[in-house]
Amino acid sequence: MARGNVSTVVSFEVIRTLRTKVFWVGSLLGPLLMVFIMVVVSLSSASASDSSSTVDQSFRFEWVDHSGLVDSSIAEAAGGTEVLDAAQGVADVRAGTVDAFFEFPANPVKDPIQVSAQDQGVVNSQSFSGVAAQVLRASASVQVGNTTLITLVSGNIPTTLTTYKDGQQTPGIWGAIPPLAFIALFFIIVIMQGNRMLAATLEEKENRVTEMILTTIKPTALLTGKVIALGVIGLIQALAMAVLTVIAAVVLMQMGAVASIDLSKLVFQPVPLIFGALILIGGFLLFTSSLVAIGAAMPTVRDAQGMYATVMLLLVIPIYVVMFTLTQPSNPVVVVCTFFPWTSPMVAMALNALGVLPWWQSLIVVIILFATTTVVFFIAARLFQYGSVEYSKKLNIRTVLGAKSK
Amino acid sequence: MNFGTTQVIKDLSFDVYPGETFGLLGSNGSGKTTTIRALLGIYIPAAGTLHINGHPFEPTQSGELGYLPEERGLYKKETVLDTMVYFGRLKGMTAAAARTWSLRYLDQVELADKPKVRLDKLSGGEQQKVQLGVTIMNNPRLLLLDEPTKGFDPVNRRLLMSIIEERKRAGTTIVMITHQMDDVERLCDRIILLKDGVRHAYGTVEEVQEQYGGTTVKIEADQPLPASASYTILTDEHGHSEIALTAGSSASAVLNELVNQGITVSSFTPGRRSLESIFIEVYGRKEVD
Repeated sequence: MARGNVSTVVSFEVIRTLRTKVFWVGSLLGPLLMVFIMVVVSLSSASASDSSSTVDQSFRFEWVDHSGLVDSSIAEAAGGTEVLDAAQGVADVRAGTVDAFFEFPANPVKDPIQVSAQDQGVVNSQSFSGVAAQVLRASASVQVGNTTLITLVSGNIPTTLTTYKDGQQTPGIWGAIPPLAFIALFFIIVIMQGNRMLAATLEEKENRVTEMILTTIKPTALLTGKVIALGVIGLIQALAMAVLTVIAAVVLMQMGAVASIDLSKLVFQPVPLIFGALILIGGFLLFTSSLVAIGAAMPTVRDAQGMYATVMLLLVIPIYVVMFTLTQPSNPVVVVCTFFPWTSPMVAMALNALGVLPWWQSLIVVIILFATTTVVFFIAARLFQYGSVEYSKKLNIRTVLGAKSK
Repeated sequence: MNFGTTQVIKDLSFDVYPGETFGLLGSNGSGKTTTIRALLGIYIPAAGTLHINGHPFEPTQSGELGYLPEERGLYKKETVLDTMVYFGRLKGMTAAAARTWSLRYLDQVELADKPKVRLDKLSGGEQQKVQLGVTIMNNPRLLLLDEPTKGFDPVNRRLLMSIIEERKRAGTTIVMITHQMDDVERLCDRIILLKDGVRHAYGTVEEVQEQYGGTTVKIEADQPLPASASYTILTDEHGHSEIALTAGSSASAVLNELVNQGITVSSFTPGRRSLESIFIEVYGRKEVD
């Protein structure tokens, strides 16, 4: 009957969550918001592009060149008129007869171009400096006369990287993307499900259901059902978000709002994927058990918020450590966070995806995660059982753990 | 059963026989609810277990047991039917059987139009009815009812008691915590009185009544009764008295004694001592109040 009861709890929890509007709004609002922002940014870019060409046509400036580098035809095409006196140029700007005045120094590498212009606001006024630099850059390019050299000097040098490991070609970034997706999945599930995890046992306490339910099911079976249900709900939520994101991405690509990505280049490597999945599952179970334990120990959601914030902080801190993993994977902070259970999921998944975490270290991480989860889970079950009728008191964990087992 | 260094229940043991209705009585704080919670493993006792048919109780045997706790509550955001079906399934019923049973029960307790209503939209009394339904689902062989009539108005209390009596007639073993002594006298076969976590009296209702004075007489008189070696005054308020006869005295002798003292007796009804007066004697009026 116990196994049957676990499945009863799972189906009850999943169905009642999927029936709520809050779940679907929460799941779909994120991707919709993302699409909205991208469309707005895309439209804004198009508008800015249009308006910048308009400015070019109406932009009127004067210049003085002490370097001898400025090509008159380029400057005039951009709307410029050469004057001989810098003071005159500034005076014309002040009088409002021109929009800007550029004074190109004798040595532009060493000294800045002096730009005087009508105030267009902090952001828009920057475009005058951009035009001045562009006039000088275009003039210099004409003098070099070799587009290849110009490209090389500008630093825009394309490269292709092929790497090998144990004599075999490795897939590089295209092999890292699939396991990196586990990080996003883990983060989204825990962030979106966090409150639900916390409320998993608090609901029973706040509604005074615990006494009745504990005569029908063991606390471990009840919590197992709830944890599995949270996992299923999280996957459904992630799937819903993924489907909507894919649809949005296709639409945006067709609109030209985002660059097309050739997904056929993705490489699915079994070992990083398996370890990534195990770390994801272990991490999810650990965070769920931790939040369930907090919920079991506290009388109300309000009382649990402080501890909840601490656990969520342990989820967020590794985001900064993950940045380190790209450049300094052997940094002591990275190493500690890789094996500390509550920071481990994010950091270890990143290292695993980037190919810098050997398989045996991945295995240690998985063992640590599952062992810690087991301990935390049984503490949570104990707290739930012992604290089930402590409707208004916080539990003393030492008392609970010290109590004799039945 | 200990809370910290405080021993709340002390070496308590009692049997409840199949098919009987057993009253677990005591004043507030005497340890009744704690005893039930410890038996069910909700509190972790220092020692002891609940055995059903000789086997230690496990929640996985939940089909055998229905528990109505003192602290009532259900999933408030869920509908009546969903909640009942959920508990029915936890008690080992199929979803279809739980659904059929629930609808029939809701009809019985005049909630036939409420299966799709959320529990927090029901009145307190209606929620109590649903909770009782959840308790007796799957026809458990043992019912533990902690103050079952708490929160019920007189009409619904009668309905609830009729359901309990129905279960009793069906052969269900019932353990009932209550302060309603008339319910105890009407329903219970045997009782236990707890005081400060210790067994104070234990046996059939008649045995306990015998233990606390055997024959009593309810008297209506025109003045307070005088003290006498023939009886002990149990209650004496506004001309309504109850006395317990002492050993060797008889009801007729006491009546003669009162009449000879010039007391006008308008009513004189011998009978067994009421549980209420025993309760008041054991716990003291102040404690009961």
